[in-house]
Amino acid sequence: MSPRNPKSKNSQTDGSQQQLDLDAASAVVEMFLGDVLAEEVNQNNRLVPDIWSVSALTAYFQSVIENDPVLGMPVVVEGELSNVKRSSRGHVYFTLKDGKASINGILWASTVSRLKFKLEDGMAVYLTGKIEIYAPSGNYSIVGKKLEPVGVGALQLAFEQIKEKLEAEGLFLDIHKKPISEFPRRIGIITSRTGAVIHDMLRVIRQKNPGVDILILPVAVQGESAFAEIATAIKRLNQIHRMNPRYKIDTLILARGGGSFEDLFCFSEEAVVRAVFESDIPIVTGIGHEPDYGLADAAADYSAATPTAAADWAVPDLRLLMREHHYRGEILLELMNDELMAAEYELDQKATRFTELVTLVLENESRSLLRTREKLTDAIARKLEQSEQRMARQSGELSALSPLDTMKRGYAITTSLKDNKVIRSVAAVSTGDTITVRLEDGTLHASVSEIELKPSI
Amino acid sequence: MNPNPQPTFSSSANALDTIIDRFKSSDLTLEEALQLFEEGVGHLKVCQSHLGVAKGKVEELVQTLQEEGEVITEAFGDDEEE
Repeated sequence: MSPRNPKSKNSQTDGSQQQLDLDAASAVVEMFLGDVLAEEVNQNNRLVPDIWSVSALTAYFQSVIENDPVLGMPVVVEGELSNVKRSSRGHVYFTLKDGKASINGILWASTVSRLKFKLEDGMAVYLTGKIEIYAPSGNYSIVGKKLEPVGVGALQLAFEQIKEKLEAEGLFLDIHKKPISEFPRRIGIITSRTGAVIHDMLRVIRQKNPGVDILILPVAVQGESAFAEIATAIKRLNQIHRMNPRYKIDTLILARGGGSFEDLFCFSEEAVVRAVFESDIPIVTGIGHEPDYGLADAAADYSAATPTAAADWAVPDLRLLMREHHYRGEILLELMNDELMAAEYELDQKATRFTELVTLVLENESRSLLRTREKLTDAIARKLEQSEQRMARQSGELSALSPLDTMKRGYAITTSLKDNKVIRSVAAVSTGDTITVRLEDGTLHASVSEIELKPSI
Repeated sequence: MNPNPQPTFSSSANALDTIIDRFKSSDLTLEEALQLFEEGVGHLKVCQSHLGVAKGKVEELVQTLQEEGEVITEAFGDDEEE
């Protein structure tokens, strides 16, 4: 900072005094240069010293500026920024110029931090500030208290700058868009606690799907702190979603009712846009009304025109889901039924064919069986006949051979009384044995009185 | 924590659609058809359980305790409650 004369604050310059007359100038010099410097004032009551010290001259110059009715007050200068440099402490040094002249400018860090947009070379600006002299280097510069872009509003410019920067980083690309849950169980809502917006949204969600859980995180949606609150809220709900399995959040809605560009600007602040982009939870935005399109909208996974449209988009219609669900069940049953009917039909076909085949085989078999039976019957009959004939013949032969017939002709059968055996040889009996002689009409019991051997031939 | 959480509505509904498509498009054996049908019924039950939930809660986040993302909420006063 330039050194200031401690008495300078006591100075009072009449606004109408455009030119310094000599007396007044002298008085001013005395007033500003103090006792020591005053000694250098010419004895002849001239208003300036013969020889100035550099610091005295500088201080004088400073005082002149400060007491100037124009330069003593903040001035607004229009010019083009160049040589913009940022110091490590956050101060910004630059040159403001037009076609013919240039002047150094400084914005202290505290002023810079209030700027929404970034200073760039070539930017046309209105700089509001006071001229100050930096004594050690002898340079003068404008110390700015306010800086605004020419042509567009400061916020508009900030918007364009943030947009350009984040666009270059790819934050708005479709490939980053996450699908919105088709069947959310819990919806997170970040919006203002007051106003109709939250109630309108709740009504829409309830109507479409009463089963959905809703977790509201109220934030300020306008004012200086709004953007920080909103960005923090997004991060906080993500943290809960990540860390607490019982508090999974399927979809997050970021909403605000309509407002001016300035009102809605907090949703285009870099911190908010980045938080939207980095959110693990898919985000649906409903900010302002139809034509409003902020950078949070651009970074969101889906951007609806209004808060209620966002609520509508985020939640499926339960009745529709029910209908689809029942339809699926019916279709599945029907298809399975078709499958069973087809199988049954196929089985039926097979059974019919099988029966036919079996019948055919059986018929053939039974026919041949019948034939065999006939043959067999015939053969048996024949055999029987043959047997009967043979038996008749044999029975005739047999009766001819019967001993009864023989005995009729006078033969007898002699048996031993001892053992009742037929006696075929004289050697089987001894004299005195009792024998039985069987004739056709009776039996003789006799004893052997003599044995006579048949003379051998 | 739960290694096998209940399938989501969407995954079950999608699985059902796939099963229905297979029924329609491919020649299934009766065994395959029965197995698919059984799977389908399982998915239907999951969907049913999702659809048949009670009325959801409307809560306002009051505080987050740092550990495990524990949250403290209170019911959100909705003036338009029926």
